[in-house]
Amino acid sequence: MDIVTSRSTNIEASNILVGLPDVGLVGTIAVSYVIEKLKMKELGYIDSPIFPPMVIIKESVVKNPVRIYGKDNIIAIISDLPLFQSLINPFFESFVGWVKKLRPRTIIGITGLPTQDRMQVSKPEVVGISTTPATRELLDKAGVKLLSDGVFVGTYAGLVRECSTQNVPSTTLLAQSYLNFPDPAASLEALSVVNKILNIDIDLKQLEEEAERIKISTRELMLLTERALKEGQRLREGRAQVIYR
Amino acid sequence: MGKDDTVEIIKELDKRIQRMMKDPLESSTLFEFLYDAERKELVPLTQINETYDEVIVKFDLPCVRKEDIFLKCTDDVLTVKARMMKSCKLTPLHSNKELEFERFRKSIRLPVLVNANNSKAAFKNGVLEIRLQKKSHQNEVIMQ
Repeated sequence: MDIVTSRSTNIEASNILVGLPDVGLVGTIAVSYVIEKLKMKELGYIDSPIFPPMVIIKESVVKNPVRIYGKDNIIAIISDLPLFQSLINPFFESFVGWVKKLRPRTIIGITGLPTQDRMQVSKPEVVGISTTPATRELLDKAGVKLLSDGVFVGTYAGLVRECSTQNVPSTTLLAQSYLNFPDPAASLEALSVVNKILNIDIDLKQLEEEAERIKISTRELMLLTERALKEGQRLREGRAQVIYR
Repeated sequence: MGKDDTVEIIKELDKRIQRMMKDPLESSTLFEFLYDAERKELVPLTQINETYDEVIVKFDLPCVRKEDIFLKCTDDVLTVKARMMKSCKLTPLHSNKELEFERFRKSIRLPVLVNANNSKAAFKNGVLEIRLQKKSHQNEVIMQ
C-alpha cells in the first residue's frame, strides 16, 4: 500500500478523521461534509496494486479514489471505493502504521450502526468504541456511551483491530442508521459528537438542508457498498463460530 | 398477478436484455438498473425483510411527498411509483452525460405470496415502509 503525500506538505496532525463507505454511508457523508465546510486542502492519496482499476474525475481532473485532506491539526481520509473483504486488513495495516508516525491524539472513525426500526428513530443515538483509556475519556467527556459487550465486524472493525494491535489511540463512532440507504441524519448526529471531541463548531445546518439531495447523489456508491457488505456477511457465515467464556 | 403487471415486468426485462446485447462493453450491469434515462425515472434503493408472518419492504424515496406516492400490490408483485417534488439532474457513474429525472418507479416480485388486502404502508423522512401479510396455508396439527 502506497501512501503518497505532496512533497511540499509537512503533515502534522493530532486528529485523523476516517470516512470510508460503510453502513448507511454515514462516515463518507460526514467526512465529505467536514472537508467541504473547513475548506480542507488535498494533501495526497492512498494507492495499492490490489485496488480495482478506478479513478474519479472531478471537474476534468483525475483523482485517486482514496484521498487525504488536511487543515490545521485535522487530517481527513475519504474514499469513493468501498473496501471489499480482501482489502480491509492490508489497507489498515499500512494506514495505521503511517498514522502512528504522526503521533495523533486520536483517529476518529465514523460509521453507521444498522438499526432495524430506524424509521421510528427521530434522533439517531451515537455509541463509541475506543482503544485506549485516553480515548475512552474523550468519549466520556463528549457524553457518548461506550459499547460494552458484543462483536464488531466489517470495515471499521479492521481499523479498530489494527489500532488496538499497534497501540494507536482511536475512537469509532457508530450512529443508528439504515443499513443500505444513505443516512445523512445519522451523519449529522455523528458530527455533533465530532464537534465536541475536537472542540470545534462545524455548522451542521447545511447538511440538514441538503440531506435529500445527498441521498440521491450517493445512491450508486450505496449500491456498491451494499455489495461489499454482503460479501463480508457471506464470508463470515461460511466460517465456524467459536464462542467461549 | 395482474396482466398489466406481468406485461410491465416482461417489458422491463426485455429492455435490459436488449441493452446488454447491444454492446457488452457499454453495459454497466450494476448501475444501469438504478435508472431509466428514457422515462426520466430513478429506481429506488430497496430493502426486503421477512418475519414469521409478514414481508416488510422499504423503499428510499428522497425528495418525494407522501401524496405523490402510488402503490399497487397483487399476490406476488409490489409496484411503487412516486413523483419527485422537483426534477433532479445527475451524472451517473458510467455515463458522461448529465441526465434529468422526475420520478421513482419499481416493481418487485415478492419472496412469498401475500394477502394484498391486509397491507399497511407508512412514509417517514423519505423512506416508505410497506408491511404485507403472508398468505397462510397452514392447518393445525393435533397432538394425540
